[in-house]
Order: sequence, then structure tokens, then C-alpha cells
Amino acid sequence: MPPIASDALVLKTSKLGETSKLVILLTRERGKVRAVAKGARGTRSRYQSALEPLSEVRVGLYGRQGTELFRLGQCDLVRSAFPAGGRGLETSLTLSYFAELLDAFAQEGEAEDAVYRLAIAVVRAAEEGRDIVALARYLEAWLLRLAGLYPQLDRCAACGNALPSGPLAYHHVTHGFVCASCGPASGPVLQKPVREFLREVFATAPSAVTTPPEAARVLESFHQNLIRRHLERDLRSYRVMHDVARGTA
Amino acid sequence: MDYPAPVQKLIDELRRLPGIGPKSAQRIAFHLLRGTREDAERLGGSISRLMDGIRLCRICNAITDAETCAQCTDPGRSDRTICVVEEPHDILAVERTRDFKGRYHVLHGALSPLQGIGPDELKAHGLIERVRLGGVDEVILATSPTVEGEATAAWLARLLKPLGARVTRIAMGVPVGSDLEWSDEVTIAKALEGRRDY
Repeated sequence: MPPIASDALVLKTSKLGETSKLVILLTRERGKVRAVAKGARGTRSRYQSALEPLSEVRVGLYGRQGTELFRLGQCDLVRSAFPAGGRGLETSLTLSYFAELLDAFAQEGEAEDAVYRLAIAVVRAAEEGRDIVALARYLEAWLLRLAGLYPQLDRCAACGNALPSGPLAYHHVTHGFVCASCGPASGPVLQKPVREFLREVFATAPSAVTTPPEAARVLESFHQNLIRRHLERDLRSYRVMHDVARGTA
Repeated sequence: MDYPAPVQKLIDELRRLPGIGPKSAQRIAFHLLRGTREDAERLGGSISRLMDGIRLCRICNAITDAETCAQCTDPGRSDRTICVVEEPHDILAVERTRDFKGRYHVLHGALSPLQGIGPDELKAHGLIERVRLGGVDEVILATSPTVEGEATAAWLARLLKPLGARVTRIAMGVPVGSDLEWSDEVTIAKALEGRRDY
């Protein structure tokens, strides 16, 4: 049986039996897939560092049509996120958050080239040392938008009229930003610098985002509410990230 | 065909062990059946005593059958150096070198955001206290060379450095006896990063 060859990003691994690993991959060709990497936990593993989270790899997957669990054959490391993790504790933990976020939003077995390209671009921007907080908001915003969950920034969610420039007022019932005549806001109000940051996010590559991190920080709770509402749970890595930050502050 | 209840129960219990599948569990169960009553009782007794007599060392969290472990009570070891490892069995790996004569501290895990393992799930508090009490010159962070191990080392370094101890990280690189040609770029980059004067 010929293998399925694909570019992929390693999202997560877990122990399987004595020497193997279960790997969750975000592939360019098939979306999110699960595969067994036999012997991956031995010291002489042929996969070496290729299965560390967010490694960019070229994989060969074996399995019947429609299978839910592939066997991982070849796995060549294209680019490792390990050096990016070495940039500091915050970057390392945030990269884990990226991996969990991608795992939560990616669809199993459905190729989503936009999600794949987004993931690669964000991880590479982190490797280049771009502001990790801004990158986190960038990834959240785009994943929410690609899933059809991000409110429109220029149209009132209630009446459909163009929103004037200035702060954005969120309305929970309409799940969007509303104009003054459809308001008042029943949720957070995003001030002008935040709106500009979002405009930049949706218009530029992650490596080109230049907005000061303050604007990105303001968006955190807004995005977390949208994510929680969609997933109906909190992400574990987000909790760990904050526990560590609290303990080392 | 169903096995008699005691045999099936044993097979089910054995299957819960790591690395034991249904076939292996069945093979072990029948091996025990073929053996003597004494053999089975000896094995059963060992398993029972394991839970009765084993505990964590009150100083370093290693597995021991006393209040403090052999490494913590050994007068030939120095209190001035502490080697931090993820799991109790990592102590054996370091001990095999016969080079390390300091004390240990076992975290019982590593920071793993993806598994939801944060600072509260690790046994690091005792380490901070040991260093805070003074008399420790160096803390060697011997967590695994993985993303999780690195994050754990970075986290501990941030907590320990303000206490005045020297904090070091074990080197990463090409395994002895392997071929440079077959090492991946991350491993070689780490080996180059950790190079030393000759």
C-alpha cells in the first residue's frame, strides 16, 4: 500500500505502550490526523527530535482508506520549533498553547490549507523572535475567523450598516459589534488601538504585525470568551501558562 | 470460551499494566498457573508489600522504604549540589555514571501545558525550600531534552536563581557511539551550542 505523503506540523504526542507514541499531526493534505509512531520513545528512535510539538515535518502515513489511525512511516524534520522554545519560558509555554489551539480548531481528516499556512506562518514568526503575545492574539483571531466565529469589524451585527470608526461595542445576543443606534453594548468595548491591531492582523502576515503588545493584551479575554463559547471548555495549556506566570511573577 | 472467573480477573488486572496487552496477560496468567503455589504467593506478597512499605523520601521525593532515601542519608554525598530529575528512575540513570556525588530532587513529572500539568502538579516546592535554607552551591537541572523538559528547566531556573544558587543545565548533543551523519539538525545544533574548550 503506497504511503500518503504530506507536509505536516506535529501538534501533540502521547505515550503508547512501552516504546511507541501516538502522534496528532496537522497535515496539509488531510487536515488533522492521528498516527502511531512505533519505537518513537527509544533512545535509538529514527524520529529523533522530529516529533517534538510544532516540528514541521514531511511524513509518510500508512493506513486503509477511511482509517482513523495511521501508522507513521518516514518523518523527516523540515524545521524544528525547539530553538524557538529556547527563547524563554513564555515563548515555550505559548507555543504549547498554539499547538493545543490548533488541535482544538483543526478538523479531522479535512484538508484546510488556510489553517495549515496560518500555523506555519505563526510558528516561523515565533522562531524569528516576534512578540509572542501579539502572535497568540493573531492565531486566535484567525482561527476564530476561519471557523466563522469572529464578529465582523466593519458592519453592525444587528442592522448591517457600516460601523463608524472608533471603538467597537460587542453585543452578546447578536454575537457581533453593534452601532450606536442598535446598542448599547452588552459585552466588552474594544478601543481604537485594539481595532487597529485587529485590522492589521487580518491584513498582514504574522511576522509583519507591528502594533504594540498592549493592544494585543487587551484582546486576550475577548478572544478567550469566544474560544470558550465555541469549544465549551477551557484549554489546558492556557491554564498552565497563567499558573506559571502567577508563580514566577 | 470464557476462562474461570479467577483466571479472567488476573488477566484483566495484568492488562492494566504498561506494555501488557491481552496476549501477554494471558501468557503470564497461564505461566503462573503452571507454577507452584509458593511462586504465586511470593509474587502476590511482593506486590502487597510494595504498597505497604514504599513511600516518597521526605527530602527529595525519591521512592524509598524508609523516611529518607539512601541518597539523602549517605554521608559520602555532598549537600552542596542537587541534581533535579523528572522521575524516580532517572536517579538510577545518573547513578550509573558513578560520577555524581551530590543529592537529588525528584519532580515527579515535567511542566506539560498540553497535558494540563502545571506547577501545582509538580513536587518543586521542597526544592525551593532546600535551596532557600542555604548550603546549596549548585542546582543541576537534569530534566529531559524535550520541549517539556526545557520549559521545566527554564521555569525552575527562574525560581532558583534569585535564591543565589548557581543553576546549570545538563548538556544536550550527540550520543556517544552514534554517528554524526545520522543525527538531526536540532541535536547537532545543541551539541555545537554546548561545545567546550579542549
